[in-house]
Amino acid sequence: MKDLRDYDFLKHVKGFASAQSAIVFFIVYLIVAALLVPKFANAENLVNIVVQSSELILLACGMTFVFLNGGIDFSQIAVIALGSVIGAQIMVSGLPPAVGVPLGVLAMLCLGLAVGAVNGLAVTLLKMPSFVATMATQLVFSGAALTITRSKTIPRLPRAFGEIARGSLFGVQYPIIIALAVFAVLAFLLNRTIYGKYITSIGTNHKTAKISGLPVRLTIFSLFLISGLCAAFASIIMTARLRGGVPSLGKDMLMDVVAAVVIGGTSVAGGEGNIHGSLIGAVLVLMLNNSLNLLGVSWYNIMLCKGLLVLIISLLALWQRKRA
Amino acid sequence: MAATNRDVVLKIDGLNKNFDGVRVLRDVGFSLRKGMVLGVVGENGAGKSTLLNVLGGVYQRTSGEIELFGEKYRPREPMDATRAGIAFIHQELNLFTNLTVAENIFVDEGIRGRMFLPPKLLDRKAKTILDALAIDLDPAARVEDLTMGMRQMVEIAKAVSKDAKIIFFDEPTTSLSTSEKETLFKLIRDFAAKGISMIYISHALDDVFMLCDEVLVIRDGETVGGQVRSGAITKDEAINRMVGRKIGQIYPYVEKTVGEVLLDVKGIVRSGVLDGVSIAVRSGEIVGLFGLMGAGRTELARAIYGVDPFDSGRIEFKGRAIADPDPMLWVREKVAFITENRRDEGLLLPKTVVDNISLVNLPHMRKRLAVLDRAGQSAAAAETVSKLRIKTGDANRQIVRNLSGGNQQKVVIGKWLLIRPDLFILDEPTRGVDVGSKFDIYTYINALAASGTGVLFISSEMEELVGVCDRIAVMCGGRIAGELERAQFSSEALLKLALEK
Repeated sequence: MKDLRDYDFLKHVKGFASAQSAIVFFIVYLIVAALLVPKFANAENLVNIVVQSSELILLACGMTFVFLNGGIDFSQIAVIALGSVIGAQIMVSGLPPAVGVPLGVLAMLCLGLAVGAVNGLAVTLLKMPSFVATMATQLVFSGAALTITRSKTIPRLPRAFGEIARGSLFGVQYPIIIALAVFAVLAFLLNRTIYGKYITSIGTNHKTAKISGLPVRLTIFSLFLISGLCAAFASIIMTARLRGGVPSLGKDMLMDVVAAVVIGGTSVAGGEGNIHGSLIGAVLVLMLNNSLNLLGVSWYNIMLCKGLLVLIISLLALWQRKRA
Repeated sequence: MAATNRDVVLKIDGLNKNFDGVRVLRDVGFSLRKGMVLGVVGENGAGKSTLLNVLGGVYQRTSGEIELFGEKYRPREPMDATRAGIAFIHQELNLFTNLTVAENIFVDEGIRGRMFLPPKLLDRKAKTILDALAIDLDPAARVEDLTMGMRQMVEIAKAVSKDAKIIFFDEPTTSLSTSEKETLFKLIRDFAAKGISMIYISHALDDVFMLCDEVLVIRDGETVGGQVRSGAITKDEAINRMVGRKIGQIYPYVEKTVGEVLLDVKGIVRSGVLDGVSIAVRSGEIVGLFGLMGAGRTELARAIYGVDPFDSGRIEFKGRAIADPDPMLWVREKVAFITENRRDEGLLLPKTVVDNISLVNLPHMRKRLAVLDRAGQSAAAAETVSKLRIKTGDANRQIVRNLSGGNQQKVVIGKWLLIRPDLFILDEPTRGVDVGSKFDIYTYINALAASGTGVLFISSEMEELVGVCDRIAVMCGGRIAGELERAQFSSEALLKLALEK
């Protein structure tokens, strides 16, 4: 078989060049689903998939940065839940929507940064593995969200806030705009700036990077801030969609996020990866959920299919790397 | 030389190996007879290790014939080589340091083998093997507690336990002491007497000529002058064949103007390692730091550069006290450091030559908005590649892992070229590096010093320090035992200081 690298057309899609397996899978799956799944290929459904994938795109982009350093961030889902609850609390506290909504949104973003900072400090200063540090913060902050609300939903958030999920600009819904804007900024940082080179260099080898005078700890710290901030954006969109603060929001999303990043071709070992792949991976996961749902496949079997997809794509990546 | 066909154990004819279309081995041929030691010499990147890796089943040959014990031999994986009776002693030893000697000897046998015997029985079986080789090692000792030389003995015992008929040695002596080397050489002679054939790769030409029956010179993937008896060629002829040009003087010493004190280190103490070390380096001066293994040379450099901590002491640079040394601070001060461990601390192995060379200077390779100046990055790297004569494919795509040792070392040095260092600390910069690359590195160090850079040159090779340095400080037991000016240099004087207790 020919190496995917040999197909010239992929080289012209800048940035996507290192996410080939994900792209090929994406296209193949899109065609197969359009042919086999009734009601899949109509405009409304496709738009739906894209809109729904915006929060997964945000989470996957943030997670990619942490992955690039060989780490993981379990606490994203805690940011979603606690952010939803805190933002909702502020918005229903009796402030006029013109004040309450911006204040709530700001609080959610700050929470994302704060949780990211805790993770970052635990990893850089206390030298904890991110696996342990973010697992701990996930449990603590998810628990806090449930405790604050006594596990009840906070309903009836201001209509203005709900607009974040429903409104659109030139026919493009806000969640898509937010997700793509965040993606664009992060892709720029990673692929075009010195900071991006710091990240991939440090992710490849801490010791070499340190002796070469790179700001190792500061850079690693910043990765968790990015991941937390992305999770906060996701929380805003999801909370706005429900117009309610939900303490269990996002609790099943973690594996989809990891799947999206891995499908996109980012190595769990760090150093190698790309954010474009994570974008494709996120939409692919959503497409899979959606199409299998339309076919009436049970949730358990959808899980099984996602597992197989991750397995196949990882094997492809391994095989490709071995040939390189 | 009445070699009958029956005596030939390994015969190679017209062997070629390509990597991504680049020819690494070209029409290589030689034969190995029973009980013979064949020395293979050549610059780094000449293809010596690739040759052994093809024979050991790590890489597959592109074309050519290999005959082993009179039969066609085409190893697909390292296990095939092991089964065929070939053992491989690598430059970097493949031992599990957390396991015992006995466990390491039998570890490859896995579930089928003796690994599941009770430890006592395993130790006894290991002891039999070690005794047969006259190696004095406790089978129950953990490998992490052993010196490099002892570890090598374990590796050899492991090879012998598998009934190896051919043993490959790739740079076996780089980290051995003189007495450990002697033990190794005695073992190799015993093996030869028992009819085991060996291929011995080394940059230490004196060892090769003393040890090997025949010598094969490889340059740029081709054999030069064929396989010759080691008495039939002199060391100088071999060097000329290796580099393809005459190296008039291996150590190019140049006169420099020595200026004011750059680095002034006073009384560095690290409990148990450094015992009040003071040393100074002036601009334009090459200061050697000599000492035996464990004297504290590497530890001193790491303490100064802020990689390892120290308990007390004072570091001044250009007259200013450096309170809390840290690599980031030193880079801003234009002080460069090359550690002795280039793979783990000097390189980003899976990244390209350009990425590696621009690593230190990254903060300055910016356009507006911290955007990376890729064109500038490539141009700067290209300049470094030609200045240091790094042998590489397209530097934008060539992965550093696939470069030879000497070229990798040049990349590590090249990283620092772009910041124009005022002070350069080099820890064993020529270890495992071929003659040609060594010459390039010395030349570069001289050029740096001539332009006013101070150099602290750590090495365990007395010869190169004597050749290159203006002054040599000798460490012993965590202290500076003494300093010698160029006029006082002699091996005897250096060794006397290094052994002073």
